[in-house]
Amino acid sequence: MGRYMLSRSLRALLTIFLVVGFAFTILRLSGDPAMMILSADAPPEAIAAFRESWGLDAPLWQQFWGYLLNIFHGNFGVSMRDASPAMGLVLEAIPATLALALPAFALNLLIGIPAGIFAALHRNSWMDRLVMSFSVAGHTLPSFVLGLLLVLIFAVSLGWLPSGGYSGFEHAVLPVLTLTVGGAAVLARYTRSSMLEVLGQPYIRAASAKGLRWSQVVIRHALPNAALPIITIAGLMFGGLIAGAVVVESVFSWPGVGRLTVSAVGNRDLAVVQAALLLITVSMVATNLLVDAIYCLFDPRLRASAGAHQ
Amino acid sequence: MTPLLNVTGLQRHFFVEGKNEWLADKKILRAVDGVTLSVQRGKTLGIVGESGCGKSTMAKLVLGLIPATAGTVEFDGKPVTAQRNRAWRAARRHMQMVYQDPLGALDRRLTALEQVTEPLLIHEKNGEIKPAVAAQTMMRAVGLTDNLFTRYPHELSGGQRQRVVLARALVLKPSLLVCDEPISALDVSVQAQVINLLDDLRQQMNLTMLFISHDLRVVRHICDEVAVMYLGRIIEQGSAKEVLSHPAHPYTRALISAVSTPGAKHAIAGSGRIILKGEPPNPVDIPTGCSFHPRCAMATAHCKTSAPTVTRLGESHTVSCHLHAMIHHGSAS
Amino acid sequence: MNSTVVDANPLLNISDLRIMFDQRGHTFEVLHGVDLHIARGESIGLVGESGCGKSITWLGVLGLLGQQAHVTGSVKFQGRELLGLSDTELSQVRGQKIAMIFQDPSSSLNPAQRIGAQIAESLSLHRGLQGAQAKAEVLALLDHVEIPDAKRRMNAYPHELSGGMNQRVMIAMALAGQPDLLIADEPTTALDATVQAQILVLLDTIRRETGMALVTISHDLGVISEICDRVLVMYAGSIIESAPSETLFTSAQHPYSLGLLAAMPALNTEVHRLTTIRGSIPQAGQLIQGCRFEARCDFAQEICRVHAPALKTIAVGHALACTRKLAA
Repeated sequence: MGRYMLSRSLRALLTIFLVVGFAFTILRLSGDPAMMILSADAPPEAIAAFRESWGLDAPLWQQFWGYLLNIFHGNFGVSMRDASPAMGLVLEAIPATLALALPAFALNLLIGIPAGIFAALHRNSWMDRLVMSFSVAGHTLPSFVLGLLLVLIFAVSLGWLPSGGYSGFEHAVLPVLTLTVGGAAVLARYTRSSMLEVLGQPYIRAASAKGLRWSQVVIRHALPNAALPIITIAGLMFGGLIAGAVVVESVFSWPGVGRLTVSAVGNRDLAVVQAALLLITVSMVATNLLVDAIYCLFDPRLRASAGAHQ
Repeated sequence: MTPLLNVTGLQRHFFVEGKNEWLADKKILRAVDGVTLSVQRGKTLGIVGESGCGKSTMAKLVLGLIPATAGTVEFDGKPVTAQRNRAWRAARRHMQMVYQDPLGALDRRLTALEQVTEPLLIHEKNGEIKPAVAAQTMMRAVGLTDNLFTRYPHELSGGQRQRVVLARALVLKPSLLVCDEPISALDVSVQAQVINLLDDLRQQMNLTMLFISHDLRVVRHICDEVAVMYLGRIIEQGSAKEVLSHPAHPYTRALISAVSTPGAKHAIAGSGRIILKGEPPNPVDIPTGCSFHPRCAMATAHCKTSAPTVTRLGESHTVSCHLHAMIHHGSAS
Repeated sequence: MNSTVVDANPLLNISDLRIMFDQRGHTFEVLHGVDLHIARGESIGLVGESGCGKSITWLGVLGLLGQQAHVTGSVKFQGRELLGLSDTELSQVRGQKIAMIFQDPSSSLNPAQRIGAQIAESLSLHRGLQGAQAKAEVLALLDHVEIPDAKRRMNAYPHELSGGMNQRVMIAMALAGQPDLLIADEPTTALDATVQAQILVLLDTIRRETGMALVTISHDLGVISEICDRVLVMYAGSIIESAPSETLFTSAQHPYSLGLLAAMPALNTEVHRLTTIRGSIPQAGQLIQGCRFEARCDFAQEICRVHAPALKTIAVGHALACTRKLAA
C-alpha cells in the first residue's frame, strides 16, 4: 500500500502544478491587470510603469519561474489593490467558507445517506419514489436558483431570515440550506445505487440463509460493503464544498474564499487569484488522497492488488 | 501432408507483481509454458484441463488474439502473428471462435440476423450471394427458425443464442473453428442438441476444430484427438479413445476418475476412485521437477527434481511422466 | 438404501407447495404444487434444468424469496409449519435447523470480512460461542472440512482462497449451526473436476458422521448419483419422477428422465449420435393446460395436451407423473 500512496501523492503534486500553471497563464493572457486596476483612461506611461513595477512586462516563463521561486520562500505575492499579502487575504476568508462548508457537509451526510439507504431498502415503493423525486429535483436545480428562491421565500416574503451578510447565526441558515439540498440529493442517489448493488449480491442471500435477521444482514454485511463508494463520493463532495461555494457565497454576499476569488478574478488581482486557487487545489487534492487512502485501507481486495499478490 | 494448425514450443508469460512491493520483484505467470501440437485438416483436437492450465490462453494464442512470448503458431503453413494489421484482419475469415457465454458474445443491440450478416459485410461485400441471403441460409442450417431472425439476444434462449454465435462464426466458411467451452453454460438437454449440431456441421463443412473443455465426456464424444494440459504444459496427448481408456499419466487418470457417471452409485466408496490432494495450483509458483508432483500419490524423489521428457507410447500417444510405464500398463489391463 | 417404509415422522414434509411471482402487474406461477418428504438422515437429490424449480423450492421453504413471491401450501419441519412464520421466527430456523450452501462459493461470502469471522458469526448466532471458545471451534470446523493450515487461513479473505476452499468454508459455516438438514444448491458446479470429487466425498462423509439429512440440487445426473439415495426429477416447476437412485438410473420411466439420461455422452461407451430432447424448456409463467412436457415428448397423446398428470406411485418408492405410463 505504501507504494500505491506514493504514486498517488506524486500524481497529486503534478495536478497542483498543472492547475497553478494553467491559471497563471490564462490570467496573464486574458486581460491586462493594469487596465483593470488603473482604469482604461489612465495615461500610457502610468500603465507602463504599473506593469513594470509588477513585473508584467517580462516574458511569461520568466514570470512563472519567479512565481515558483517565491512560493518556495513562502511569498505568495501581494494584492494589486491594497498591497496586502495575497495569502493573508485568502486565509482570512477561510473561516467564513468553513462556516458554511462544515455544517453543510454534516447535514449532507445526515440527510443524504439515510435517505439513500431507506430508498434502497424499500425499492420501488412509493417511499422510494418520493425520496428519489426529491433527489432529482435537488440535483438538477442550480444552486443560485435555489438560493434566490429561498431568499425570496424566507427573506423577502416571510421576513424570517436575512437575505445576506455575515453578522450572526441566522445569516448562515439560508446559504447552508442551499448547499445542503444539492449535496444531500447527490449523496442520496449514490447511496441508493451502491446499496442496491450490494443487496443484489449472492452473499446477502447467503447471510440471510445463515439465520441472521434482515436488520443484521443489512448492518453487518450490506452497509460495510456499500460504504466504500459512498465514502469516495462524500470525500469528493467535501472538496467541492470548499472550492465550489463560489455561487452560494456570491448570492448571499458571504465573505468566503469563493467570493474573494470571484472578485479578484474580475479585478485581475493576480496574486490573490493564484493564492486562492492554490489553496483550493491543495485542499481538493488532499481530500482525494485521503479518500484513496481510506478506500485502500478498507477494501481488502484493493489492498491486495495495490501491491502484493498472493 | 501439412497440418492445418501447427504449434511449436509455444509460450505465453505474464508478469505479475511479487509480494514485496518496494523491491518491485516481478514474478512470471507461465500461462502456456512450451506447448507443441498439430491438427490435421478435418480433425478435431480436444484440449482438457482445469482452471489455470492455460487452455483458454491457448485458444487466444492460436487465433492470434494475443502475442506469444516464444514459439510459433502456423496456420495453413503461414505464421500467425498478433499484429492487428490488414493481413491479420483478412485471416479472420479462415479461423473463428465460439465462446462459453453466448449472451456476452453477442452484441445486445443487434438482431440475430444482423449479427450473422456482419461478417459477410466485412469480408464479402461484393460476393455473388447477397449477405442477408447467405446469412439466412446459415442460420437455417444451424437450426434457427425464421421467426427468430429478428429477435435480440435477450429474447433468445441459451441454446438459440449459441446457435447464433455458431452461425456467425461459420457464415464465412472458415477452415478452423476454436470452441472454448461452448456448451458448459447450457442446459443438459440443449447441450446434446448443440453437440450433435457441431458434429453435423463439422462433417458438412470439413471443419478442423480445436475443442477446449473441462468435460471429458463431451471431448470423448466429439474429438478425434485429445491433449491434457496441466500448468501450461501438455502432459499427455493422443487419440481420444486411447488416452481416455488407457491413460498413462496420473493426472489424466484422476481426471477420468473424477467424472461422475450416472448409475455408478457410491463410486466414492468403491475402489479405484482417485481423489487428488490439494488444489489446482497457481501458475505463478510452478513446482520444480515434474509440475504435478505435489499432488501425485506416486511421486518419487526423482519426480521432485527432474522434469519428465515426452515419451512416445504408441502411434500417436505421448506422455510426460517418469512413471508412465507403471500407470499405462496398469490401466491397460 | 431402500425407503420401503414411509417414515411416519418425516423430518420435512412439503405438501402442495406453490410459488407465484408478481412482476409488473402480472402474477405467474413458477412452482406448481410440489410434494416431497425427507426422513432423518436421508440423502436426496433434486435434478433438473433451468426453470424447473429445484432451487426455488428451497428458497421458498426458507423464506428467502423476497416480497414479490407468494408461497402457498404446507411445509412441516419436525412437525412445525414453516409457511406463514415471520422473518424473525424463520431466521431461527435458518442455519440452526435448516442450512443452505450455494452455487458460487466465492461470491456467497462477504468479501470484506475474514472467513474466520464469518464462521464465528454463525457460532455466535446459533451456539452462543464467543471469544476464545469460538476461535477454537472455528479451527475445529476448518479442520473438519479439511482446510490445510487452518490457523493461517482463518484470517484470509474470500478472494484470497480458491473456489474449492471457499466451498469448504461455506460447508463449515453451515455445520456451525449443527443443522438437521443441509441443502446444497449446485455445490460443485463452479468447481474444477478434481475438486468436485473432493467436495462430494466431504459432503457424504459429513452426512454420515452427523446424521444430518442432505438435499443435493444439481443439473448433473452424475453428481446426484454419487451421493443421493433417492432422486427427484423436476421439470418446469413440478416433480415428474421420483425413485431410489439405482432404480432411476436403470429403469427410469418418464420420457424426460430418459431423455436426460441419454443426453449426456458417457466416457466409456461409443455413441455416434446423442439422443436429444427436441424443443426447449417453456418460459417461466407460460400457461400450459396439460402436461408441461407434452410439446417436446415423442410419445405425447391427445390427452396429454389437456390433462396435467399428478405424481402417482407405481412401485415401492417410485413415483411418476405421466398420463401414458400410468394408464398402461
